[in-house]
Amino acid sequence: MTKSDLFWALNDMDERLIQEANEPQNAKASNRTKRYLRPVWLVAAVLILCTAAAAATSRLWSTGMASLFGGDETAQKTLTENGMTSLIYGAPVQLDNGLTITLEQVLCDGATTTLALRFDAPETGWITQENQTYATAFLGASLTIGDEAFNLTTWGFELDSASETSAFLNLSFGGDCGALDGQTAVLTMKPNTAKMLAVCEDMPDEAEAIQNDPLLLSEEVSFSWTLEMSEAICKRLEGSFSGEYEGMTITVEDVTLTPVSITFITTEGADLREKLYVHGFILEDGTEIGLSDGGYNYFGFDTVVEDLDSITGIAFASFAEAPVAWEDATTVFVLSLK
Amino acid sequence: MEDQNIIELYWQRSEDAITETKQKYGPYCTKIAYNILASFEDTEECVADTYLKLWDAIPPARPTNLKAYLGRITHNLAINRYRANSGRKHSSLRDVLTELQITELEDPAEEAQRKALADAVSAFLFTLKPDVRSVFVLRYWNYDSISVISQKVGIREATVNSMLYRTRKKLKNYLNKEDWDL
Repeated sequence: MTKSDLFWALNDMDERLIQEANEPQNAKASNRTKRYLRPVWLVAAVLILCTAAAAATSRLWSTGMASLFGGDETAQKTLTENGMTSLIYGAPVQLDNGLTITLEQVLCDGATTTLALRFDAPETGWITQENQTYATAFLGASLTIGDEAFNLTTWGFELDSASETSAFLNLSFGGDCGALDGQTAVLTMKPNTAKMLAVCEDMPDEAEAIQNDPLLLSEEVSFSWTLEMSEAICKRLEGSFSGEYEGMTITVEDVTLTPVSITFITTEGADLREKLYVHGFILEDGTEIGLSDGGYNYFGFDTVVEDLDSITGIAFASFAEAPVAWEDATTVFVLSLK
Repeated sequence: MEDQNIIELYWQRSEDAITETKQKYGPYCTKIAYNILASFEDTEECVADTYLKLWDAIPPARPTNLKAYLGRITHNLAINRYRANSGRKHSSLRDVLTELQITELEDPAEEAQRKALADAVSAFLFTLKPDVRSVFVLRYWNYDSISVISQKVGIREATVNSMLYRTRKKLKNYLNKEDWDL
């Protein structure tokens, strides 16, 4: 079978699926849910911030707030330091058009390796839409590492909403990173590559901006990095955290934090993985960082956390309906780390 | 006019059937065709062919869902036209093919195998949550752009991208488990 066969299979999909997707009332279901639950979200958001601020000064207060949300226990955990194998990239590459590209991080847990490509456009910034953090892709770019080849067109970008000049692209594949030591990573970008894929037909203003994007490349460029092994520090949360969810006890355990990632977690039952979501980290000063799109994420996600010591908590949210965004959260659990 | 009444007009061989179809579903068909062809001229011809095809199909057909039936006719005609065109424009379909890592659209496999894979894909899609499923179908059947899906479903574009990425990954795993080697 070929990939074309998948296309034809999608083409021939069950008519009920097409019918369902094209019924406006079905498509808008999440919106209705969001409106009904908005007061819940507002209350939850305010309380989470209160909890985060309180966590820095009072363990008892933090525990009490989490119980209020439905978590029957907020465990106080200690972070310990462990060595973790990681790979460090080569030097950033700067293109003539001002774009700087860095193979910034490689993280591996023994089964999966994650690379992070970082694209900085400090002078021009990236084209954004209505203040949204915008996930998009490059046209015609590819990255190869050893036998692994990535067509970057198919990978989503996350724009750093704080600076709007940096975009990140995470690539994951199976296997331990040890095998990558000494390998060469080659990034090739075709002309017109450095261009955000805004949807021109629906957004003429953005389309015009893209046409004039100074980041457009006039010719193909290719460059490489040699990957080198290095030791990175990570912190592992010992023990576990339990909370009550729809009459079931859920357990969060084996939380590992590194400067680039948080990995975990086990719960009772696979279904919970789609109902109970990680919202993000709570920092010492009470601010939150985490999911750039507001919450549609499965357990386990990558985000940039520069200073592990500043993390005082992790917020989890549960959903009554199919989870679409953090705003739909109906219950919040807070895991206090300090 | 209700769909059943429109279908009745086809059965009566009344040309009003096409007028009513055009009025009710013209924009829907146009959108489907344009997503594939990205050419107003081709789209117009494709939609006109759709009405003729529907005229020929009813009777004897009596579709239970006229919109889906009509959408599929438009879809298939537009795909055929897309494949026949040498100078293809940058359509939404082309973006979808790129996402699916298809460089050239080959001829479909023989009927039984094609149907078996389609059934497997449909079975997988039925396991998804309705919102996720709708987003996937709007992208990979309607070929709607990310921004259009975002507007239709009422979620942010970043979330749409995120959903699509994860669903593609899940589908791949599902098909691998079902022994489909794609």
